[in-house]
Amino acid sequence: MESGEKVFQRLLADLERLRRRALLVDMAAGLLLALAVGLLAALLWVGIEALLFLSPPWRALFGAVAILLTAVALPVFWRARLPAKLNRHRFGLHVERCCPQLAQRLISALELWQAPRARALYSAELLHATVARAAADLAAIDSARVSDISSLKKNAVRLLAVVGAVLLAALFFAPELGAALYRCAHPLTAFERPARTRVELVVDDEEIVRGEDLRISLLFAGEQPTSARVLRRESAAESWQGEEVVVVSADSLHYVFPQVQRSFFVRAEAGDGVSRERQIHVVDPPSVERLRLHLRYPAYSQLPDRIEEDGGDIQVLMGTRVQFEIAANKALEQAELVLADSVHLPARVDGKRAFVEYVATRSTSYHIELLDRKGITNRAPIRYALRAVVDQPPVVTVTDPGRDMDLPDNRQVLVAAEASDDFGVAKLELVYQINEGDQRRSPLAIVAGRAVRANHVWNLSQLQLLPEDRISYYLEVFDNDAISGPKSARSRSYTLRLASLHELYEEAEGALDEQLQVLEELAEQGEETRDYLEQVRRELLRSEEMSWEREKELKSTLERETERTRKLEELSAQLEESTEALDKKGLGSEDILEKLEEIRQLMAEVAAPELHDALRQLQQAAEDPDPQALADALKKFNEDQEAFQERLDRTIDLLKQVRAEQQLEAAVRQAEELARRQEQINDELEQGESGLRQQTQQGGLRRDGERLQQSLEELAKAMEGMSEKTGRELAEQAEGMKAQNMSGRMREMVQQMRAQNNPQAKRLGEGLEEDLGKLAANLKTMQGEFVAEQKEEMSGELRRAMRELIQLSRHQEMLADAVRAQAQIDGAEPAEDQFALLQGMGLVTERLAQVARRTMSLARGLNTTLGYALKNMGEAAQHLGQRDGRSARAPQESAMRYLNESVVLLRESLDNLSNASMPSSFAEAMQKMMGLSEQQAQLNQAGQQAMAEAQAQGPGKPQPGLDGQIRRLAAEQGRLYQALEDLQRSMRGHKGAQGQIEAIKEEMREVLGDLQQRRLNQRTLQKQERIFQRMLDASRSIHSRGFKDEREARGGQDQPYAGPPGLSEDLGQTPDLLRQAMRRALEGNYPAEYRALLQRYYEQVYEDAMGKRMPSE
Amino acid sequence: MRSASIVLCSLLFFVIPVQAAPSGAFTIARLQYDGGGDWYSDPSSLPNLLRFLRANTLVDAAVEEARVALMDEELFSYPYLYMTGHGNISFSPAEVERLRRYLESGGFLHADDNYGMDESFRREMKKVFPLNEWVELPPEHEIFHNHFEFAAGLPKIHEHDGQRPQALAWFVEDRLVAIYTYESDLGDGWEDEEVHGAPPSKRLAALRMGSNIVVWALSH
Repeated sequence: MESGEKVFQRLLADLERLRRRALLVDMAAGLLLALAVGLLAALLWVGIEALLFLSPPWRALFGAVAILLTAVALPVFWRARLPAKLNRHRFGLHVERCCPQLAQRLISALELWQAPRARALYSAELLHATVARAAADLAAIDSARVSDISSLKKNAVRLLAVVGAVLLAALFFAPELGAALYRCAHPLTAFERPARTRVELVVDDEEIVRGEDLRISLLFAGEQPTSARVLRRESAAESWQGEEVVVVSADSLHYVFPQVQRSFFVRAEAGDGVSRERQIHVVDPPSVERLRLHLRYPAYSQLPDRIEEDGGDIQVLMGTRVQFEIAANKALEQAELVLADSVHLPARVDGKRAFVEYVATRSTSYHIELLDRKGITNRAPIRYALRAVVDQPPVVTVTDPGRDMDLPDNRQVLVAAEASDDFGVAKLELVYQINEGDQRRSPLAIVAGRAVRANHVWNLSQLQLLPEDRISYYLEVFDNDAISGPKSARSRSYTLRLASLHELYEEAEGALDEQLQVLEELAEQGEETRDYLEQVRRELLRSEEMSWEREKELKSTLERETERTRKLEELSAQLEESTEALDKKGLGSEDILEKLEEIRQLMAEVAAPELHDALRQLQQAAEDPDPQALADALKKFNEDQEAFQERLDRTIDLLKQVRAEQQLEAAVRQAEELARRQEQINDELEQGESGLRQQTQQGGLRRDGERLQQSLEELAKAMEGMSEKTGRELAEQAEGMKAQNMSGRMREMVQQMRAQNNPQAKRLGEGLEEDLGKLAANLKTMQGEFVAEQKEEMSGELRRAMRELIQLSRHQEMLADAVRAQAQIDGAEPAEDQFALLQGMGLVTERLAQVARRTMSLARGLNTTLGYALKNMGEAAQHLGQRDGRSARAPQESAMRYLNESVVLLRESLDNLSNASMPSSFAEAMQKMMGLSEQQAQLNQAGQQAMAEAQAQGPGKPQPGLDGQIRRLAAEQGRLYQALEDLQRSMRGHKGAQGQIEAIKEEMREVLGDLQQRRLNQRTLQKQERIFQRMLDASRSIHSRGFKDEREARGGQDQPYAGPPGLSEDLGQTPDLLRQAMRRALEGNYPAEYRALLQRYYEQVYEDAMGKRMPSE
Repeated sequence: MRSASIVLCSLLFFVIPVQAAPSGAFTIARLQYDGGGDWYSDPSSLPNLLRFLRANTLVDAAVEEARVALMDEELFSYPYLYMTGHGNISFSPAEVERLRRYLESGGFLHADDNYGMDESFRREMKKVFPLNEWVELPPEHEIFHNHFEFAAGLPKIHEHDGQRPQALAWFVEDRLVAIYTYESDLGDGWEDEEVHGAPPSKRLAALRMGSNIVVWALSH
């Protein structure tokens, strides 16, 4: 059995357990209550603050109250509850109250067991039983019965209620309560009272892409505003700027900042409320700063890779690999090349750069799409064109002659052409066809390249051409397209024509006839003028005054005379042209050409400055009121004019003579040509060729034969005045042609050829050839005889004049000696002798003047010596007539001297007549020039080749062999220069040609200088090209015998392009450094005033510079 | 290839808004200049060309030409200037500067030699861009193929000296800012038929070439 003490101890332990539990419950209940009170007090405090916006003292007081209440609530609660649980006895009583079933046993056990007195009063068993019973009952008691759980629960409920209230308040009045709580947390701080209207600024995104719209919202609380101001500024230093916006909806407003460009601060004001300030950051979208294109052309094009630093629109050969290097303004996340808005090619991204490649197989458009690391895409990317072009066909243009023309005598034509292709010219061919014959091809030498020039001397002399033959030709060029095969193109087609000699003579003689006719008209006018002026002079001498009408008439006549001298000058120039034309076409003998040149000089002397002076003096005198002065001037002019008129008459006579000689020469040559043509046709017949070409040729021969017969008849009449014998013989030849029925036989021959009766045609041809040959020989002989006869006749005249002059000189000497021997002249005999000599001298002079009208061989100065001899003899006769022998001596001696000089000059004239000087033929010289130009073309080509090789080596690299090449070029150029000098010497007297050659020589000297200094550059090549062009110009005259006017292109007809083959690389632009500097300066970020100053400064500088460049302005 | 470029060019007209004159539609402004030359010559030429442009291209061309002097305020409203004449041309320093700015700012000038203006025009243009030179456009240039085909380059419309026609261009910063049609006389070809009695084929060629130049100016 358990001892009483142990039971008691167990009882105490149970009681203590219950006490501790009850104590804890009460303490917890107290805490909950304190919390509830504190929370409620705080809520009330904050609520009051929110409602009343208390001043710091009141706020602090209410805070203190709330804290006090919280602090008091716990002790009060505990004081009421805890004492009963702190004492075991009192707790036992509490338990007894809570558990009536204990029936005081617990308290009895507690009081009796430990009280010695009680133990003495009660038996031990009773005490033991009491304690045991109490212990048992106590152990059976639920602790909850002795703990105030209900208080705990109530306080918990209270706390929950308060927390709920706080939450509700927070839910509905969070801003206000929050602000109040903040203020309550700083009870002693003085806060500004909040606005009545509260404005909240809501920004969707504080980071915006440059150029995009920014949307903001304003939310209003408290008093609702009717309008709001949206304000912005870019920095804190600036003042706010904004606009008033009407608030339409109840509590909010939406506002848009369009196309924002810069970062800024924004806030809003409404009523007395101001929103919080927000900062908007503007960020740039990704963009392409530079597009670098690396173009790799297809291999066949042989084009080097090309890099375009600032790419955009692309035009490349189809198949070109285009590498895009995209430089963006910021680091990229992704980039794409988008073709035709549909095909996306991703690019490899590396920081701010991206790389993508595309092979241009078709034309399309493209753009670049970028995405930066913030997920922003590039805005409105530029769409570029990408054109994949196919290899274009080549182009070729004939630059020289570049028109239809007659073949020159030497049958050589310089064909110059320019051909170009986008990727290279491989081959150039001359394609030609004679009449309707087969097409023939001849390759031209070129240096392959994109733009090539060819200068080909086309020698047609081997082609057995006949007059009227037409050679149509064009150039065909082939490119180097190895993929789809070479493409070709043709130049325009041109025609060369071999004109007949008759045509050429007709053209040349037509001009001479026309000039002769004009000359005769001018001479006639001169005669009329002279007669009229003489009449005026006589009237003036009679009446000593001139009527107004007469005065006007005189002035008008003088104007006509001025016009006449001008025409004479023109005619002189035209005659030079005619002479040159004859020479170029090889139509005149050297003798004839020389005569024509001398006639031209004579004609120029007719319109010499003296005539102009005389005319001017007469015009001045016409203004003079003194009639005597005018009469004197008229007299002097008439005297001068007579001399001029004599020269003119002589010119006309000479021209007639030369024309006749020319016609005779033409007849001889035409006959020879007819014989030659007949021979050629016969040769072809011999070879069995009797087709259309031969028939046409024979037909043409017949027509030319008929024309020759007619020419001979006309010439026979023209010759009658000059040489009866020649005229008669010419008529006989014409008659012989008729008698031999040449025209009819030629016609029959054509018919036989048509009928394929070649043997008969051949027989006829042989007969004709023989007859034509005889005709040519006869005419040639006749021409020789005519020339010899003319020469003999004139030589006879000159010899006779020479003899007579010698005679006169001898007599003059004798007379002079006789006069000198007489101290005084007594009779009239010496004077009579002197007059007789003078008369004889006059006759000789007159005869020589007649000779002078027919020949140019009279030595210059002869007329002067004859004139002085006459003059001195006249003076001597005059002195002797006055029986003044002393005075007569001097003129007599002078007369003898001039007579002797005249004899010398006459001897010289005789020499001239028999050995006429022969200037070198103009045509021959021009042919030489053509040969030189060909050599120059080859030299140019060699220069270009050397240059190309040098460039291929690369700049600054050693170029082995180049020095030697240039040395060889220099030597060759020097040789050409020497040849040109020789040519120039041989062309003395041809002023135009001399000038042309001098210009060529000047260019050549420069080139020679360059080459001798081992300098070979683009400029040197250009100079060489110019030399060649000038040589072509000079030699062109030999084959510029174009078709007649009616065959040339007329107004508005399309003409072939003859300009440069492509655009120059610089497009005609030279960098304007001043303007560039100005632009660079103005691109800087300067204030407006400074910019204006800069601009003015540069404009002034520019203006000054331009003024210097254009001083004439 | 050429047909493709023609199609491309035609398409351009769908997407490129043609710059409008003050009145709305595109028109050609005839340049009124000093110096004595007849800037007003060929009066029926521009209306005819504008009519042709309306009918044969997608250019919304006005009915009437405009007239403008270099110092006029509205100069920069016209993207396309045209000048012609037979006589002397003279630009004052201020006009030179203005024309330079106009051309540098994207304007385009077509000068058509009506025979007689060549010397003075070249002289005055040299003042505008003293360092530049005229460059002859070869037949391959796009301006001869962009709308109508001119395989041989600039057509010869009217005969004066028998010289070949030349399309000379002036480039500024690689942009073709002015074209000078020399010895072609397009303007005569644009005139009413009875004025010069040019054959229909020549008139058509002139109008087509004129259209090509306008199309070029508006699409570059």
